[in-house]
Amino acid sequence: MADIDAVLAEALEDIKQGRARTVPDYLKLVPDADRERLEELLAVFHNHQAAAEGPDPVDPQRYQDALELVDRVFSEERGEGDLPVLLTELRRARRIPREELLAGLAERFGLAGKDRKRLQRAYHQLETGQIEGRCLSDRLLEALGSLLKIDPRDLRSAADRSGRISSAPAQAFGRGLGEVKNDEVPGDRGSARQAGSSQGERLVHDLFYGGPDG
Amino acid sequence: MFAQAKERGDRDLQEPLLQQLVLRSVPIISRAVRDSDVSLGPRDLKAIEDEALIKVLARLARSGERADIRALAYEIGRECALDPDRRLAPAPKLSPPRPKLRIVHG
Repeated sequence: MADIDAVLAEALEDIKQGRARTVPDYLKLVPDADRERLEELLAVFHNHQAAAEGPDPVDPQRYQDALELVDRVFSEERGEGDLPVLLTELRRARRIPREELLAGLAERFGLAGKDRKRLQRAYHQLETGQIEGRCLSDRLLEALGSLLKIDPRDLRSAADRSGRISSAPAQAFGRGLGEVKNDEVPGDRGSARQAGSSQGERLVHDLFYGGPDG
Repeated sequence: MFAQAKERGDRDLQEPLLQQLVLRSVPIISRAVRDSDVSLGPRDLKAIEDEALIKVLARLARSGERADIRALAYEIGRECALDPDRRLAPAPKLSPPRPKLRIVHG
């Protein structure tokens, strides 16, 4: 582990030279005990940079876009919860088609063939708000965070706000998992099925319905 | 105030507070992207700013008032602008001019 002053100096030099490294990259270099302090120091620097020349004049449409984004993410009416909207918006901004994201997840978890189809169906359910946030596993959110370049803790927080299931029965498009009833946690049904399921099926179940430790 | 609203699960109060914080981040993100000196077209710049805004919103919704909005917006805007894996908008297709043909009745 490196010394906090050395890492701070390295970070400031990187920022000056326009090198692409993120704050978590630097935090990994110092011992756990120094991370909070380093994060504070980097925040002071970013704050100073932001304040140095004042904000840019911005197209008023950008403010409108920002308000619409908050509205979409926090919309109660859609009933999908925060995480599905967040994932969809991030994919759109990063120009990552759903198929490509699924390919990344399948590769990461070693899923192919029928298991890949199961992953596809479960992910569809996730993006359409049919899975309760508390059912999602930490390793799934870590994988999504890595593919979409967002802190997985932010995804977990959004998932925790996605505890609502819409009043209408949710439809699953495709075979297998079927309809999710409002009073039924999919994970419970999956657990009952686990005895005769394949390893891939169990993995998909654990990722999407197994809870944080799944 | 945001932390209290979050603790109580009061989304009606959280939303306007988040709106205020996100609006404050808009010009800072724009500045951070410009400072990063990336030469990109308007569509790509908008995509970077959109991504940064989404990430700022996600972070604020998690940590609320504890986050320094100016530092956070600048840090995330810069990270998004310098992301080496960023996918650029496809170049517009240039199609050859349509030939002007007319039917000759012989």
